[in-house]
Amino acid sequence: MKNDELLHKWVNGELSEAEEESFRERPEYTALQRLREVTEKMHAPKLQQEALLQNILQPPKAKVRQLSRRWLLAAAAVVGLAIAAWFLLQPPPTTQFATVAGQRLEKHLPDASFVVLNAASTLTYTQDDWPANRQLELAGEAYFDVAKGSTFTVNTDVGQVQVLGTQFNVWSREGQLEVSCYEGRVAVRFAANDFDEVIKAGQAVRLQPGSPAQYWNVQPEQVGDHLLSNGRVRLDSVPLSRVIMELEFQFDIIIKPNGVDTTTIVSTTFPTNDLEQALRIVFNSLPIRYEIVSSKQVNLYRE
Amino acid sequence: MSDHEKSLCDEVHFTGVFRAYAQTLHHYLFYQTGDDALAHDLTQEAFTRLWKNCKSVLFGKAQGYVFTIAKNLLKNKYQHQKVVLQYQQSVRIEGQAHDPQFLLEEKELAERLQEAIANLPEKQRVAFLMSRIDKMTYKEIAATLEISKQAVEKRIYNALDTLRKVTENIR
Repeated sequence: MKNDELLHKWVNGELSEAEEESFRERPEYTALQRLREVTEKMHAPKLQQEALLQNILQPPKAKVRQLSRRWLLAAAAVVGLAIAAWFLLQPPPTTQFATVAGQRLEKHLPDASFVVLNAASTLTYTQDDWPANRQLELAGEAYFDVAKGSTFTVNTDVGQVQVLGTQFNVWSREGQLEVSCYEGRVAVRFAANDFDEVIKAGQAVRLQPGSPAQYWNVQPEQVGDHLLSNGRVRLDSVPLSRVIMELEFQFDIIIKPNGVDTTTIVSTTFPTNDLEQALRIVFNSLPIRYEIVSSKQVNLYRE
Repeated sequence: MSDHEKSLCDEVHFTGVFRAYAQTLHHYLFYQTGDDALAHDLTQEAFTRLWKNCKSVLFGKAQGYVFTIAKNLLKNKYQHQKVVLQYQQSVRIEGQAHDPQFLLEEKELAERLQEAIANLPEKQRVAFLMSRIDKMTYKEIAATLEISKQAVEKRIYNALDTLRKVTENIR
């Protein structure tokens, strides 16, 4: 009974009174009515359409005018000279934030985007290019909460992370790159391994030259846990060497591993304001002893 | 001005087309994939291409154009996610408070329905949700999906047939 006319009229609210009455007589009427009531309260996600429209209409299309070839050459020469002069005389002004060891910095970017820069990290961008061209250079680690708009790209010396969504964390030190995506999607490019993939919300990837990519899951509700939670660093399933590096950056110290196996995979959360407590938390659960030699150095030993 | 003379390169006309179809396209993609972010990106991409090619697309063909672009983009890259709708439970209807038992039952029913909707064959799900959530007429759905009105009737009939069994089993 695909051509059940009454049913379709009911769906579209087009039943006449008499038809309504006979439709009610049907055994499946109550179930259908209940179905309608409950689905009435369901909604699909709404599109932020005005913001999207602005994205599409801007940047405004350049007006193209036909020029004769000779004029074009002359114009090109003049433009070339002007550009050269511009670069020689006046490098585009860049904005740079840097943190030293133990420091953490929260900043709003020229649009509504937001960044948390972890210890011993540097973030550089050219303010003039925003918001049409959102490009940043990162050395170290930062968490980004990106406002909707043009493509948002984080360049590091080993790879590139391009945002298709909104919340993610980038860690790039010593030739490695680690990206966690908390919301939306990000495209990750890692030049050394010819890696080019889209990472979705809840996923994270770690890349180092010559090794296969490692994937693991992050909880979207942990958004920026790692950097946003006050005074704590949280690391999940990372090599011990990564934890040691983080301790060094947070407390501005040098840690000598002395033959301790730093490839062990660990998960840990340590405070950033108390070195002794941090060391205790990290190393007590492992067969490792530590010794604070001076305010600048910690030695590790196998137990 | 007839539709024939309207140019999509005119921002006013383009905006009109965008406002008329963007939400429908976004929902269509969402009903298919269950992926809100992907639906958003593809909607943006489809309309960006329409704007870039505004000279070569006739005003009356704009809807078909963006849907075709989005469908083609979708073919290449997507994994199905479960379609999850937002469910807003009403606390009262016409000033009359519901007892907790009723609300609990309704919540459970809503969850089962969500599950059943997510498990519907894709074509049935899309047609059913366009009718139910977006309140589109059969004619509009047929035009949007470029299928016959009979095909829409068939898809919605089958969807209702499956879903009413869910509501039948509770009370």
